[in-house]
Amino acid sequence: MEIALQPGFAPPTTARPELRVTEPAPSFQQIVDAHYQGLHRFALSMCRRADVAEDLVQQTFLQWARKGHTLRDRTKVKTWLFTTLYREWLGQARREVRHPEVEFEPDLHGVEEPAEDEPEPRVDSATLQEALERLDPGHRAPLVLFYLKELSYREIADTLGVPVGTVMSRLSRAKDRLRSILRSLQDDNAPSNLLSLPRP
Amino acid sequence: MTHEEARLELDATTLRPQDLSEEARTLLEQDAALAAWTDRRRSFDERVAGAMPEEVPAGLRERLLVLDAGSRHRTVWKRTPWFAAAAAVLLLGGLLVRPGPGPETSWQDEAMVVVRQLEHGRTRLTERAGSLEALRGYLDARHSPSPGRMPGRMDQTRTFGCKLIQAGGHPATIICFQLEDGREAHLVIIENAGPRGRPPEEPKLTALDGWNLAAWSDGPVSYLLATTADAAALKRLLGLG
Repeated sequence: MEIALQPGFAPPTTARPELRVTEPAPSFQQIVDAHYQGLHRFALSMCRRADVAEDLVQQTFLQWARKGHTLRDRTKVKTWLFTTLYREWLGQARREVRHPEVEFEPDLHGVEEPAEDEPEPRVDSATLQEALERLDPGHRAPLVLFYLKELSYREIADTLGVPVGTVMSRLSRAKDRLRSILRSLQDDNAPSNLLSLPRP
Repeated sequence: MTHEEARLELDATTLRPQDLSEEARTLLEQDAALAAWTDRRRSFDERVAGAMPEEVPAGLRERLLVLDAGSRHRTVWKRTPWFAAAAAVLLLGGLLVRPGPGPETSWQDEAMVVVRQLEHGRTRLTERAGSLEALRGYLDARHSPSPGRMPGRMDQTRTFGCKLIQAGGHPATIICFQLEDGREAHLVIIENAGPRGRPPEEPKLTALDGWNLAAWSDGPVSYLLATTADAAALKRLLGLG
């Protein structure tokens, strides 16, 4: 048996559908230019490691280069890319020990809505990333997509493969949980607490 | 729409008010308390959105654009009927003269795209380690495809590390070896690729597009070793020369 590496000799498995759009299909470069920054921000917020984030984005566009032509609805390119990246991340995260293969059910975890007179917590980039890391993946993914403003909540539901109502309730709970974590991080870093730390 | 449903929708659209339904918008206009609550939520959301990461690594766009090379043959297929017809004839011929199952190019093609990136430093390793033994430990702990019994001098050859990928829809591992002349060799490991994609049990050598390649299988695990070093170096690594 020979090694079959000659590219281009694999016939399409299904007939190519007739395209109804008159505009030319966007080129690979156009799709990269339109989406790579948003995808990288999503990846980085999910994994917090620059090298892993870049790999996730590369794997996503590699998948697009291989399979993007099978997408019939050109308006779904962005959702397709974010879905692919999310699945790549899930696959990686499940291989890591710190993310056991357990489906998180956020709706079982109650979150109290903050009182109106409570002061808003401080938000900076480093603290936010730490707070996002403390969120369960089932909360973090919709929340990150929401804050990136790339997708509507309906598109977030498509991307994560969950019902629209579930995305809305998870977003609401995740925001309250995020606020609570940010506040607790702020309290931990308060001068009074820092001064009470034991000296080495 | 109930008040609670409206709050959920409003909360999901604070940063994208264009996505708000007409019904929720009407409720918002009629309910001052709801509007105040939405404003507070939006204020917090805008501050969080402003703290999200913005930086994109330098050169990422260029590294992504080269990925299109892996799909270029598909474009040729689409645009050139004569090329497609010729390819079909060649494929059919290959199927007729080849005993047993036909070729399965998918995992090998996809893995070679990443191998080329590794060779040119366009993508990073998932884990760095200097020996095959250390990488075995790393891969086994993650239930990723791991090298079993290796031929020739591969167990003793220094490694750079490994990269975890998906190839042909299967998890695969690429291990990068450091050869004597400063060149690299890349070993792709994939499990249960299916009988159509499985190479023979003994390493089969071939050359293609500037690469010297060897492929073999050991039970359900298939291997593809690729290097731009000469064929003699590949054979030495495999203990064949």
